[in-house]
Amino acid sequence: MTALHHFLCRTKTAFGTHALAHLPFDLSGMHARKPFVITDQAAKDAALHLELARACRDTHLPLGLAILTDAGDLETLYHLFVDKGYDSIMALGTGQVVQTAKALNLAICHGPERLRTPAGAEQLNNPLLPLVYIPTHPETGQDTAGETLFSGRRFVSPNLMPDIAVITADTMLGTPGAAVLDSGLSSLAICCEAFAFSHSPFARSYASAGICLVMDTLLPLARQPDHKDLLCQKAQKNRQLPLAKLAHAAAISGYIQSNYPDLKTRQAGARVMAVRSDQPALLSAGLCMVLALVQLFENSRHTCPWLGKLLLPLTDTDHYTGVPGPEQPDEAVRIIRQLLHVLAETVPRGMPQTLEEAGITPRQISEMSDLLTYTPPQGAP
Amino acid sequence: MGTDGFHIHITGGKNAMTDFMEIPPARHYWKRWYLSCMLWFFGRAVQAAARVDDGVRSEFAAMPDNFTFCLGAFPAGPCMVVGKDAGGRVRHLGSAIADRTIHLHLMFKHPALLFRVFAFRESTPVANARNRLYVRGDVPRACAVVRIMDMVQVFLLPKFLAKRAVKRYPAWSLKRRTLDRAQVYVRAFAGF
Repeated sequence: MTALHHFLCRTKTAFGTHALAHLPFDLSGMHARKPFVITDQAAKDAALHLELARACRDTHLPLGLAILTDAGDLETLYHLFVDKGYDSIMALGTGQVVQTAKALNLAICHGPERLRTPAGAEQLNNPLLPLVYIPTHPETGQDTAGETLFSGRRFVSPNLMPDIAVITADTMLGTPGAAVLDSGLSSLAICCEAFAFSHSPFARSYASAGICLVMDTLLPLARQPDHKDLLCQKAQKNRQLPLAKLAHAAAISGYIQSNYPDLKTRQAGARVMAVRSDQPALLSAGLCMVLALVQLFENSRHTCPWLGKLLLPLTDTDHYTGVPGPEQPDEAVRIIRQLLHVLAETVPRGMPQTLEEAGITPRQISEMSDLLTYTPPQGAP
Repeated sequence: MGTDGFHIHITGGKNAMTDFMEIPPARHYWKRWYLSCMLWFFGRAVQAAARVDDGVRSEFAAMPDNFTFCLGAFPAGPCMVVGKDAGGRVRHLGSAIADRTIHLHLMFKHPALLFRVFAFRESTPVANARNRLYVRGDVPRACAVVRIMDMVQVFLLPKFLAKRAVKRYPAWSLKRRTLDRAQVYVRAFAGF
């Protein structure tokens, strides 16, 4: 009997050369005729808003461009949006820009009073205005997930996922190596866990694409430092496409997080971060998640249904077919360990490669055993 | 929903200023002029090829009479309209799509994407694979129109450009490559 699977991704992802030129057509499909763009100072300094204006040339789409200078701008943005009659929102940036765009969308569609409701997870079932997400950096998947944090309150709804994500090398800004590493490792951990433990073929397809994107780009980006001076503009340009691919992987990890909010690596990574809060510079969230992932795979080698198949997106067809089936789970874990080892050589101050090396004691690991062990659900094939 | 009653400082009392600017939609006049010229000449070449070449003629023969199709860019053109009248003659009907029944729309999603095709930086199959155009109408007829476009491009362009514009450069007979091509050029310029 065919099993019932559920996976929702309401975001249309446009990736690649001239992806921005598709935006006016996609917006017209959502009856959006006057978009309101929220961006930050870094994107404006890099003249990324001009890329957007170029994409809207010859299309009758006027743009309202608000440059976020502080987190306290929401009231101003709300009045601008309503008074000037905008009908859709574009977030040109990452992190704070996207969270503000989602909060603005909530304030407009549900009323500003909704943002003052008591803390806690808010289930919002009504549709929101069209939201377009154009990243300028690879992030950790929060931007495309169906949740937003605003003034300490967490709002959850699939409607909070962007309607369109446009990811292109033209809008990528220079990103520090630490942020690249954090984004890549975080996406890798989320996608690997979804691939190895989910029975949904849709989730595994998304996860497989995310893993391939990370494996293709993370190592070259880590080996190539981020240059800011003008003499290295060519090197900077060469980084833009891998950065866009990493941003794509992060977007995919956001879709997965929306469908699987209780991923073990996320929870275990947060626990490790809390335990080692005295070492924030040494341990990023992404690294903690990958260390937890390796431990999770080690503990669940015999119960994990798809661990052997994980070798295929982690490497390539030749490597996958060259390893006998019973050895594939071990090989998949070895590949992840090897990646961490090679990445550690590119980081000047080094990088822990196990939870023990990160300073987590065996007793603390055993306390986290529920998060580091996979238990098959009842009736799972 | 009005703005009355929105007197809360949502983020806790910060009163920062937001820079705001409005960017009106601009037009790229040079590109529009180039595309209009190319589409005008291409439409006349389709009309000429339908009279000269057996391959183009047979594709049009399979279409119903009074069938009209347009090729252009979303949302405001430029466009090229070609139709087959009740007598089976193929005619270039200009660029206006308003007040006209169009049975098949082949539209690129942005003028810049149409420009890439007519600047021979991207072939029609590659543009299609990259989701650059949409079709409103019968898909089999759209495939026939794409085959006609390919043949006309091979007639009009030198080999090194035509190779970039079509998926596979065809092995045509010498007559088709020389005499028919010359006739298509003359008829396209003369407009008959």
